Amino acid sequence: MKTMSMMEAIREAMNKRMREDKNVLLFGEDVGAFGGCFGVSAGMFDEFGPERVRDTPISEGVIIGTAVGAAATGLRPIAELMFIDFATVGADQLVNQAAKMRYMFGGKITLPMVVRLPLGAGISAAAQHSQSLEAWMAHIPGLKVVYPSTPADAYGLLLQSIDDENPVIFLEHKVLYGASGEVDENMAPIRFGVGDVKREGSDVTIVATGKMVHEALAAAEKLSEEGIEAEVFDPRTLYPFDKEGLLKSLEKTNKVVIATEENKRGSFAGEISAIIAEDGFDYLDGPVLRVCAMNTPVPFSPVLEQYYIPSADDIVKAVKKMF
Amino acid sequence: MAKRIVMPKLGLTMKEGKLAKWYKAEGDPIKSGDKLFSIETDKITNDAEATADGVLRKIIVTEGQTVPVMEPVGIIAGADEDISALLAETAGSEAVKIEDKAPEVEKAAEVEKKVERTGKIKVSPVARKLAEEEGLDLERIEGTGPGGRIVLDDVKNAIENKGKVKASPTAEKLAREKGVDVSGISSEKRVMKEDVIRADREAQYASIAQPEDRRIPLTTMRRIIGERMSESAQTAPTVNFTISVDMTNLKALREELKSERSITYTDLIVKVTSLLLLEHPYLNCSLDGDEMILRNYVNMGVAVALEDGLLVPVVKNAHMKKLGVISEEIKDLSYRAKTNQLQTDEIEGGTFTITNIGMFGIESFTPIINQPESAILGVNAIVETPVVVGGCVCTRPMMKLSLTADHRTVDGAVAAMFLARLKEMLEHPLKILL
Repeated sequence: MKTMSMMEAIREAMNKRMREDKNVLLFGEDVGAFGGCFGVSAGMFDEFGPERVRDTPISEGVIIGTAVGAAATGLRPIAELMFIDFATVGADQLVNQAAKMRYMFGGKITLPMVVRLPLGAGISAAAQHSQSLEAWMAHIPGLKVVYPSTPADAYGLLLQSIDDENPVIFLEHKVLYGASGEVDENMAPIRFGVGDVKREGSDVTIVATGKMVHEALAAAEKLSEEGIEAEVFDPRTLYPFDKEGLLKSLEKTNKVVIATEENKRGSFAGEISAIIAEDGFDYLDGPVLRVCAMNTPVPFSPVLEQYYIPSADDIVKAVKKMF
Repeated sequence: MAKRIVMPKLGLTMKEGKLAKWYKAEGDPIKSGDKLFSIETDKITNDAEATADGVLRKIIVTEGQTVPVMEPVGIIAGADEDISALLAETAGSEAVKIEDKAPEVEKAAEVEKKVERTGKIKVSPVARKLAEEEGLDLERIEGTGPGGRIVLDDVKNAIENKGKVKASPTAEKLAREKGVDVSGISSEKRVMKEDVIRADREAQYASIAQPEDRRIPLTTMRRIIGERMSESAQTAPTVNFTISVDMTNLKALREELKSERSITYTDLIVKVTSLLLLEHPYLNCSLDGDEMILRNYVNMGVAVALEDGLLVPVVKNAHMKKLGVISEEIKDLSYRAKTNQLQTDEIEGGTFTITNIGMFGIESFTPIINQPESAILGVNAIVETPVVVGGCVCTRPMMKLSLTADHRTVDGAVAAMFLARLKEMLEHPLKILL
């Protein structure tokens, strides 16, 4: 066991696989000598050299397209974009190539590639560098979407992502890079589609992803003081989604709040809500409530930005509506 | 030849009749003069007779239906005769239509009721599911969730409290001894010893007694009596008067006439009262809006008790009829009243009513006026009573008269004077000759 920040956990997972397998390589803007825009790849250039830790031009299309080509020809690339916001620029490579290739070639090739996408608000990076676009990714058949909330999950899930033979979108919340936690470096990769109960409770289930898992845990503590015991369920991967795990929790608590940082309209929170309505209706003892961000671009002003991001208090308020 | 049977018009004022009972069924052979069905009007019950031979081929109006007079109620025809033309004529009649419509209306009402019910109860899915599994009625569960929604906890509480009754230790012990089910005692509060004792006692009697409430529909006569008596009691401010009459002489007179013919006290009182009413016109009048109808004749109503009801046939022009005629008429009217043979005209047009219940030993009562008359005279039992006559106590056959008068037309003194005169005449019947 070792205490690591989320950033270290991601780096160590990459290091581990790159030491084990020379076909694993990393590329992206400034990931080389500079160590990455947020410092995730610090030291990797020195260890693995310019062939395996490569800087790219400022072109998301090139970055993702290169990953598609490398994966199709036998390597196991990890591509890093600075911000998920610019996945829009590389969308053709991601949506029309990476996601479709194995299907359209009749399963005759594999495409073992990971696209790491930092996302989320909270560092005053303004409207074009702060979005949570996971619903777009999860919408595309052919892409697996991973969204860890702790260093240990990030470590185990990234190992699994690199091992996967298909394109995996690996989401990293910028504000969580500094979050620390215990990580077992010898842990087995975490299987996709297995959610994690981050806190047990009997009265309400809070489904949360990424940074909202921490807001949900804070909310649960506040609710506990008032006698409401909340269970916090982190699905960890949006696709595949752990429906059974969620319904098991709901069967126990009968109430559910979904907390994500996306703006609410068209959000993955809506997808979770629909899953519950379709398969968990008879467990419900109240309406399914979503705690999401407002339907607006992320504000630059730190005051407005904090107002925009859903908080533990927002979750507490939503939960109390049901009692 | 096929013939329609119609609802007969039994009197000038009859507009509709209720077909009370069919004596024949469809397919029965009919002879002219057979009783076909009974009719109830707002006044009396009558039987309709067949006027043709044949077979009762079709019943159009069923028992209990009321139809206007002259409407077809059935068809008599030969056994194999074609009656389709007659049927077609009556197919559009309302009686048939109503029958067709009834079930549809009922269905619509049922649907409405159900929709209203689901719209009213707010309940969470899991709570509804559990309630259904436990067989609990959601209508009886109070919702404590947001907006009054029935939530899981509410159903769980309802399950927990089902069949659970709080009882004191003594009550529980007693209930066990006596075999009383405490949960059967409907008590919002704690069940106490007294509750158990009471429940036990009630249960013991309940097991022996077999109380039964029987509901029968009101006959037309019962309904009419009810309506008219209520109306009279509610509209007329009445005053009741009682006077004692020494019947010695009238009794003697009756005995004397007996060799000639049997005369009843009612006959005698009708005769005397009829004469006197001409002298006291307000007791023989009717109120009609802003006017009083005063009369130079007396139509005397005589109440006749039936097995189930009451009729008041009228002795027309009683003021000018001889005692013998009055006696004969009353005998005839009451016989026909009891055998349901009166015509409607014979129970109309009364100006005053006499009701005699003396045969039951009644000594005084307060009859209700038969509107629109102004007064009614109740005749009571003749009782041998000690009275003072010439300073000595002796017994005399005494009878009380009970007069009820409508104060709108009859003042107290007027009624009193009438009663005093009546007493005088009954005590000295020979004065009639004057």
